[in-house]
Amino acid sequence: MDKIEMIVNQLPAPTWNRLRMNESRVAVAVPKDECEPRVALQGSVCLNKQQSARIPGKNCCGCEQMATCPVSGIDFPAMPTGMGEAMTQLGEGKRIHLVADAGKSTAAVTLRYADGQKCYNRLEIEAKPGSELTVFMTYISTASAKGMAAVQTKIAAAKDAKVKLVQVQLLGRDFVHLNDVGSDLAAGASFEALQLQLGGTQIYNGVRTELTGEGANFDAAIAYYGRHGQRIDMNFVANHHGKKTTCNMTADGVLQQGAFKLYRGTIDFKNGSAGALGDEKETVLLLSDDVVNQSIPLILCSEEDVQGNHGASIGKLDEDLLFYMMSRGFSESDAIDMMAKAKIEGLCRRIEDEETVQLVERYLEGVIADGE
Amino acid sequence: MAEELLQVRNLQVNVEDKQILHSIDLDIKPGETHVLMGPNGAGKSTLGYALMGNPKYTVTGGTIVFNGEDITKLSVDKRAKAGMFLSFQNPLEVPGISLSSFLKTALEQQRGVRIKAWDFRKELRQAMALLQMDNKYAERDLNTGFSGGEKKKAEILQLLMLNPQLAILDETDSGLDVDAVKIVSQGIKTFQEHRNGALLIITHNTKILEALHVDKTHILANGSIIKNAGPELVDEISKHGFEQFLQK
Repeated sequence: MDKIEMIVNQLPAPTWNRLRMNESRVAVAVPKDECEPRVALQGSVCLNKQQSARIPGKNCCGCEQMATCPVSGIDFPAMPTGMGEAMTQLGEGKRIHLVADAGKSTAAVTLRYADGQKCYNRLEIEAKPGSELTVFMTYISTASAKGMAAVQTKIAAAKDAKVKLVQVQLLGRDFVHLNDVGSDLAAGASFEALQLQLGGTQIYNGVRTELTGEGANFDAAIAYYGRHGQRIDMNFVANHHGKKTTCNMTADGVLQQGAFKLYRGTIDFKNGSAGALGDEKETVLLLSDDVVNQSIPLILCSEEDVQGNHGASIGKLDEDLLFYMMSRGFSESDAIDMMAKAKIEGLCRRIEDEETVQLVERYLEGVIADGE
Repeated sequence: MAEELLQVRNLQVNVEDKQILHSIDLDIKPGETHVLMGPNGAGKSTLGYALMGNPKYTVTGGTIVFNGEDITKLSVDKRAKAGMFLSFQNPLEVPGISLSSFLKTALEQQRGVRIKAWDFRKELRQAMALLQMDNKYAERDLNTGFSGGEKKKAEILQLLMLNPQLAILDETDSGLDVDAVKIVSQGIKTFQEHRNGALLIITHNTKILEALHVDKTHILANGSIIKNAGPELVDEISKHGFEQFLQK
């Protein structure tokens, strides 16, 4: 069997079936290749995998050797994710486990794919109480490469832990990308997810967060540049369980050249989430008439004292804005490129890593310079 | 006598199907400052937009010649590259693009060469200091969340950096407090004196003109220029309004 049909990105509460937005069906290749991620660590974070290595001079997680890092009893396989169960069952996958102790740490995980590779990688992140961990994940291949890059990332943030996850997808035009994230946040914990989806042909992206503890905070931002008939299918879910939990989800993108985009954003105020606040906002710039743009913002509520907002701004480039830019000497196509790039740059400013931002800039220069 | 920088002949402009400007003639020489005044709804901003080439304003007759070239059908960006600039009455917000990045790219487009970051920053800081703008504005998204006054200063900052041959200032003083008018006026004076830039200042307010040398004044009413005179006309309008000219 070379292909598996998966049902992914299901809405927590289905809407009319005829809209065909409740979930997505995708047939993907069975992942069969080993993709070894390159991992670089800084600070009080350790990597736990079969072939572990020591960080020089670092007594990580209270142990001398990575292999014996204490692993808590977190049931990562059971943690729900944005894309859903089908993604968890896609296969064993190449698994790595990061543990961050108190203090500031960073981890850079690079997944470089060769032409024809079909890979599935799992990353589990455990942030101990009071820890501050930033994880940069970059998915990259050559421009002409074909393949599949499936990645599932699960995060357990303990009390007052702060996790920032930066995922940058710069794959070749013919790659299928499945990017699945799940997280569980204890009291006072925060999780910031920044995602840039730039390459690939079919992109399925799901992020689900359980705001379990009181005062937990989830901040998600995705930016995308859909073109060449790309399909970008997203599912963001924030489940508010704890009191005074907050979430803010934004999706900012550009569509042109027959691209298709489906954004699902759900804020679910569960029983007991009194005082919770949830916001979601989407902006889409439509640069050609042959694109398909679908959005389904959803706010579910089982608690009275909560506040949920959603807003969307979807349309073509404003004529007055175009005139303003052209009055400064930009040609129409340069002005449009600049506005498209601005969507991505807005998110880049939050990445706070020069190397990653430069990588994105170089990728974008290639995209825009080729006039496509 | 110097050649005309801008020569407008018998210009007629429609917005949708309605004619707004009727047979406008206007000549501006290099370095000259012209003031365009008139009652509300006279068509002053329409003239500014039409000169800059806003596609919403259709030229149905006449010609616009700039630097000897007929630009009546030229696109907006090409007019800008030829040396024209319009300071907007309501500058637009450009989310996602910082003031500094916008200006640097615009300058590179204009000059056709890459500009060294160091040289650009130096030039930008000097211009911002002149306009008493906090350097932090350079890294903020252009006009996004700026106050009315800061937006107008950002327009004059762009004027100083882009250094056109002709700047059309569309009510740059509107919505500014007394101090801000002085600062903006200082910026315009720098453009006028040190860069020999020509100006077409569209205004209701004579305050902004106090520190500036004015060569000619025009009154526009009901889409036609009904009076051309020297700088003394500004004072006359300031004292007696437009009524007397409209009656004539």
